[in-house]
Amino acid sequence: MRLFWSQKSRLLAILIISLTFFALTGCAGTPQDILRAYSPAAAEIANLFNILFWVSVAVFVLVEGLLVFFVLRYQRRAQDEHPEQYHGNTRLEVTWTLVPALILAVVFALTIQTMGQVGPTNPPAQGIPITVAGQRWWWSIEYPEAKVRTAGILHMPTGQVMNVALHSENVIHSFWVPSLMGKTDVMPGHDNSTWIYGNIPGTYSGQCTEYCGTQHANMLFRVKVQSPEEFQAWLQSQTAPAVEPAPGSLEATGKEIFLNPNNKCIGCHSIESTDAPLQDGPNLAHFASRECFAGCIYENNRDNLTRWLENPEAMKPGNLMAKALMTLRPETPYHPLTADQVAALTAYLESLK
Amino acid sequence: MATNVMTLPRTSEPTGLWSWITTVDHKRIGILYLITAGLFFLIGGIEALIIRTQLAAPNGTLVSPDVYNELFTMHGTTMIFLAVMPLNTGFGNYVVPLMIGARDMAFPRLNAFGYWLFLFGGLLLYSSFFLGGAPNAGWFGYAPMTERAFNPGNGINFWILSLQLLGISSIVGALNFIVTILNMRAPGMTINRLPLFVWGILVTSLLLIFALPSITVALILLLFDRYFGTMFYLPSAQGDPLLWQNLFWFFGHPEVYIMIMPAFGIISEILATYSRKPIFGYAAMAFAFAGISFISFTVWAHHMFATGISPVADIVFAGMSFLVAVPTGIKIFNWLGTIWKGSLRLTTAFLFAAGFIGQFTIGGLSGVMLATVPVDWQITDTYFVVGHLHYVLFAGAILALFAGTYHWFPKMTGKFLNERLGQAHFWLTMIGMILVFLTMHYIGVLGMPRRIYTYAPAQGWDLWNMIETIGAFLVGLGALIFFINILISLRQPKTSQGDPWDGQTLEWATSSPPPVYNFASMIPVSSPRPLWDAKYGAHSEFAGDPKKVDLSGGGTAQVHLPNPSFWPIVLAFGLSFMLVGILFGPETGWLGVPIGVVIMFVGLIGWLAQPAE
Repeated sequence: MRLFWSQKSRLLAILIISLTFFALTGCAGTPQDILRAYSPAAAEIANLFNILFWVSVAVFVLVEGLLVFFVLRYQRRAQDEHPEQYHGNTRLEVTWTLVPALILAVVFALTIQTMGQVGPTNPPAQGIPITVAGQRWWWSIEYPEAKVRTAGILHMPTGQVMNVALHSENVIHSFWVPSLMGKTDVMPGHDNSTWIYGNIPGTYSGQCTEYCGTQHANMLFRVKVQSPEEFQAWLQSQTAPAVEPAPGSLEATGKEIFLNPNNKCIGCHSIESTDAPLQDGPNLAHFASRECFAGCIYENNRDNLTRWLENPEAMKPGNLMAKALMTLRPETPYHPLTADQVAALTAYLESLK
Repeated sequence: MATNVMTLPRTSEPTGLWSWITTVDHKRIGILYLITAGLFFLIGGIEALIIRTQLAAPNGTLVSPDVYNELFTMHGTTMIFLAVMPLNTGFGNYVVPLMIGARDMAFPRLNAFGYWLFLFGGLLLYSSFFLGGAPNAGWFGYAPMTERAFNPGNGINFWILSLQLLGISSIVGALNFIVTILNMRAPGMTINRLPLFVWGILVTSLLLIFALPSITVALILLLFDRYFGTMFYLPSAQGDPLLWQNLFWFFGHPEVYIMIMPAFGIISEILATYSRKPIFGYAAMAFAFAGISFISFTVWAHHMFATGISPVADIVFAGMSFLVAVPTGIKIFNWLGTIWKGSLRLTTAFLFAAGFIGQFTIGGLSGVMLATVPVDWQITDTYFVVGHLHYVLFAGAILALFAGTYHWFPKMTGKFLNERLGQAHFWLTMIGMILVFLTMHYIGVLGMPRRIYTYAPAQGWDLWNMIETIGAFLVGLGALIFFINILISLRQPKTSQGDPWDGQTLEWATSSPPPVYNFASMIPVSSPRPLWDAKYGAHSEFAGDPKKVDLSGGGTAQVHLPNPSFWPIVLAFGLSFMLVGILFGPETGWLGVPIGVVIMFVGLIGWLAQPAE
């Protein structure tokens, strides 16, 4: 497909980035560095950032240099010293009005140009539509054409634009994957749209950047850019119905606990991928195939899952699940489930491949 | 020098607590503002240090997420509404009438009323900590998170109503400044001879008058949503969260200039004084004040580039935002022009002013980066913005306020602040500030979002956060030295003459501290720096033809000084009581409202019945 960038300009942009001050001082191990661009759009913005940065450095050095020079040079030497009384200089003043204005005009032109290339409302092509919903405090990710709904990890193929509808039924969130694309707010009341495009396979960090309440800090997600084949295989696997546990197994007990309305799980979670209205908790279809959970702050393994089910409040203070389960065992409000229940539920969740 | 002595009704100052409660003297009200706001600045600073301690290392556990969210909300609200704005008002109150050669503000009792509203507003906001939880939706209070559905506690109600009180306080203060500056200037002080600090306060006051109604309306709509079930901001009923953002930022962006314009004025006065030169390009400076304030009303949506407003709107607001940089640049270069070939005396006040130029420039430059829409899409709502706004409000407003304190403290008290402690304060502040706020820009580029109570080690932000925290504590140590310096200096004997810094403007043409009536005589005004002309006629091109001033009225004129009055505090208390009545209305059957109205009514009657002088 023909897009607005070429491999060459991308490489050039990345080269420029690597020459900057920022690349010299740190980079490795900072997955949300905006200058660590892994998409043409992020590289375009990083490029513009670098131009602005160096212009700013030049202005700063000029001002600071003059300031320090004047302060050192013109100190008072005698108590009765009287300097000449300059009231101004029209030519100088016109200069330092016009020169900044010209620089800003150039920046303005670059702004408009770059906006055309990376604007969230200007997708370079129509690709795969997805809906990303900001929840408290995790991300729901939905592929409406395949009727797949998952959470925390956005899978996408290389070389295809993902057209993202941003949806919220609660407060404002903001969708951001620094290495791939700038942020767009997720506004309740009307769905904004944006797009992402990636051509380098890998896993990229994303995070909510609009303050959305108690656990705003722990509302992360990941974007997995995969080869088209891998992506299709993943999407296929997600459409399969949930595996039925063998009767009498621990998993079957777990399923029973899960489905018992008294335990409140099904009030907020579903185990089948669906396009029914959003629930407060993540859809758990194929939960075991996900790398992370709870706003993508914990790796999905037995140990973390057990600890989560034992005491969700300790794992993520103020989360809605801990609140909802507080009345389950009033004598221990933050330990809503018994050890047996936790073990069975963990086994069941782990079976949802 | 024309000296005209007049008959004076009273020359000694009243003393005692009661005299402070009933005072209508602009100097005392100014000092009340400065002390109260100074204490709130201290509280806001302590909140900042708790925040920085929490973030010093990943997975911090000093405070819970809910407490953290209250802390950053209160830090922002406090620093803006209870520290920087009233500190500006405090200096304005003390200095503006002196600078324009007036005896007091135009409306002395209204002035006192404004102060008491500010005090009660601040106390109301802070009482929330003890009465069911502080506000926790950020100083920007984005709907719908402030709605009862998402925020059922009482904190937001405290926030709404105390901001309304503070808003009324600011409006009456602004009206008072405008009338005072337009009507009470000394003979000869035309509008194009106003000292630039007075210009700054005048422009700030005009901004307040036009900007505050917008947030007042926004808050009233929110109050209705929370109390009476309207749905102005609730999308579930076709309300619009963006309505809040537009109303809020229509106030919120001019608010930045409301905080920074007086700082520009202070810096201009200080640089000129300690350089023994006039301000370079006075006319351009005055026009830049006007230009920045006008443009500041047309840039509000640059806070909203990521909200999905149309690209055309993005471009227009980006263009206007770039435009602000032009008059700001004029100011920076004119300040440099002012010290160029001057005779610089490196007092602490001058050091802070020079530090202001160097550091505020960074705030301006990072502002241009944020106005660049695509770059904004990456760095908005990251620590880059936190760094930027602190470079504007700390490196801008606070450094100027520190400078102003060292500059005018001898005028206010007759005592000098210790210069050695002042230098320690300066260097700690500069080094600490660069460590904390410059690093914030960088950590924003590394992708750290704002308003997060914790972060994971995997993000690679540990080192930079630790550096920021160390910087914050250096700033805190500097501030501690500053407060100690003030306390020590207040215990010293009075050593300051009327004009300790070789000043240029009229506040230095009277004793330190000035008498109740400010001036017994008035020197002629024929330029923005009348005292300089009077002292160094040979060095002033205006000296040839000083316009003679006769204030004596043939030696029979009476100085009219306003009577102390108890009624401003009664009226302010009644109004505050009424708002507290609304705050707890649902629980108390709205009983507080009529009680408050009655107290207000009593206050008004008393106010009107009392002769003004």
